[in-house]
Amino acid sequence: MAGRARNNGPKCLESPPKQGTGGTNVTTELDWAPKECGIGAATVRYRSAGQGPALLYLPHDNGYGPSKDFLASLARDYTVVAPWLPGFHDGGPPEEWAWLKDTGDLALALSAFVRKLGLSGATVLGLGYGGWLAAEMAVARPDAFAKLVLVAPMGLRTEGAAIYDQFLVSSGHYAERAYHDPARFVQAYGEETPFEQLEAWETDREMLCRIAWKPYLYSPALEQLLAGLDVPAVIAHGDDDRIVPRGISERYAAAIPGAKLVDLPGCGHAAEFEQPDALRALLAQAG
Amino acid sequence: MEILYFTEQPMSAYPEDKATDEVPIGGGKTQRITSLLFSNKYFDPMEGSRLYRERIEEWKLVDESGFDGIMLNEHHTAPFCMSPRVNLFAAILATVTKNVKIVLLGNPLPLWDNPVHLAEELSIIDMISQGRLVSGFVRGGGVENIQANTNPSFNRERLEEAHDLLMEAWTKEGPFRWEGRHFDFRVVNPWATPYHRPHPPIWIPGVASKETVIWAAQQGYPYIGLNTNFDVSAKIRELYAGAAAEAGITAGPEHFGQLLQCHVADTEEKAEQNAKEFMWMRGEFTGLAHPVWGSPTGYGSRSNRNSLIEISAGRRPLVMPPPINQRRLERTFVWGTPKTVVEQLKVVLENNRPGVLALWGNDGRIDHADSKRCIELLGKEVLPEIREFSQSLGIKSPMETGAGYNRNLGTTPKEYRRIEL
Repeated sequence: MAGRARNNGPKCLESPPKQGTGGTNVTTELDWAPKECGIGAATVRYRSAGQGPALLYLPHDNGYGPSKDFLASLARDYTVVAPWLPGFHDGGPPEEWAWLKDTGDLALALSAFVRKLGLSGATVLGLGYGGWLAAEMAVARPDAFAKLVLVAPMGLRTEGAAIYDQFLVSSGHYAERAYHDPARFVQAYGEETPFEQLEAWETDREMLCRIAWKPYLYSPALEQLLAGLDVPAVIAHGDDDRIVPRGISERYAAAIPGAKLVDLPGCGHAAEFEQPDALRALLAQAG
Repeated sequence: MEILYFTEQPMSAYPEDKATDEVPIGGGKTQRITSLLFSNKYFDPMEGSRLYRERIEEWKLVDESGFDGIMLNEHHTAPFCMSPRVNLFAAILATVTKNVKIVLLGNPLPLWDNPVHLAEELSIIDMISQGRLVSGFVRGGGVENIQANTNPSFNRERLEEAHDLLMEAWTKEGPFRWEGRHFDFRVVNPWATPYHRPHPPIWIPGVASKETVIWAAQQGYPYIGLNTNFDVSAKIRELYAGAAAEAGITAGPEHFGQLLQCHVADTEEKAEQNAKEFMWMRGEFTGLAHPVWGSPTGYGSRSNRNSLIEISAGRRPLVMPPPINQRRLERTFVWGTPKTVVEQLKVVLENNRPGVLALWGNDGRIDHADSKRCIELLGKEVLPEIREFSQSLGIKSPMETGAGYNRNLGTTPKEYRRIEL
């Protein structure tokens, strides 16, 4: 992107790293201990590790899952900043975020976080719901990101198909449906998903329910604003995504000037588990 | 004691052998359903017409048979209940009956986006019936919230705010402006206000949700246990009495009610045969559903969260209602001839001492003739004896003591802004 400065990682950390308070330690070399960044009256929790240009990682609505290998592989080339979504599991007490009324509010909070950490101009990788957040942040602040990689982003509507309604099924059923290959789901979560993971998913969707019950996972305003983006964008979509219809990714690609639409073969909605190499390759391609 | 007649208004005329819809519930298991996603292709309007009209005839008979009231409720998207709007049937009863109280148990407050319109509808029912309205409120079940697309996360907040706004609209002069958490009204000024002053009596039904029991006690509203057994009813009374005492109220029988299934016929055999009809939805009186529908995300108490997670993951069986004989032992279901039913009901009265006794007389495919006969027998042979027994126990009804009127009138809760215009 001509004239856009590349960001080389967080400039300030609000508080010293806390050891042993949760999160996923990826390797002995990388320090993924949770960090905190105060914005307004609330505190965003995040992890950051790696080297190279800054990469903001915005996760799915049901969290990161056991994504330590993927995070570690990204940290080889990027300084990864991975916030837990405020109010979601590990994202701080939901009551601290009770004032969030919709996804736009959440994007505002994350924009404040990005600004506070000096991450403007980073590349953003947004997965599913995280993809929608990235798009909201990008349209609100033209200098927010140097490059967008949105994987099956939510946030728009398409003809004849809708985002799968997770509130009619169990959280485990929803998580399993995100996989093209059921064996990979078992590989990630075991034959029987641990109760702690089920609890985490429940917390995630309690927060999602508060802010995205109605309208369900779309913003009427967003599509109108995407045309104003001036940033390289790649929209990736698993060819067996049973959560987000491909038509939504098509609309993103059509709305954002110059955006590319890339299909991920043999892949469901959980692309970070089913096609991690392809996602890394998309990030590496210069915008 | 107030004695009410109740029926779920079942839409039993559908092809049960063909209607075997199922949904996956996790763990490779499936769940048979009769609600929410259960297709309305099974609904037959001709049969619906017949059943609605038969029920109105049955209610007219109830009105002439010595009952104190008719209890109404509402549910949606399921055959177990044909009433999707409690006020609609209340309006019908206001004109076709002359004697009974019209007891709404109740209007699902969180589902109303305009509680001021609800205040108006209820006022009109109260006026047309000349003060026969008892206006109960409920949270609405999980399925009800989903079908209305009401965010279950805010169910309890909406219940409380809608209630507070409705009380302002009923008991204070308009116009005023309301700025709340979930409701905003530029002008609140309903022209129609209730026949009752300061407002129609309010009773709160439920199946023992702690927060609701405590809230009812704080307001001074009687709590009606819906098919709760003796143990659960005792816990409700204890919880209620504690919360009431903190609010400065001494709880008595007038603060408690009991709904139970009660079918009467001329012979024990006939009564037992009809009693089995109450099990037509495997005894699950809010229909068969995915566990997530019954308690959607954000809807339930925190204390129940872990068990709900396990149930929805298919790791714990759904809690199904007890079989019919156990219900009979627990006295949540009594059936028989008038003589044997009176004896069973006396046990209920001795144990629960309810100020309100709601008898769920007919359900399933019990036909019109047997339904009417049940009502006649209850009126002629059961009610007089039960009343006498209740008096001998010194059980007072809410109507005798004035329970059911809000004890916090005159104060606008501070979390909302009421602005005079």
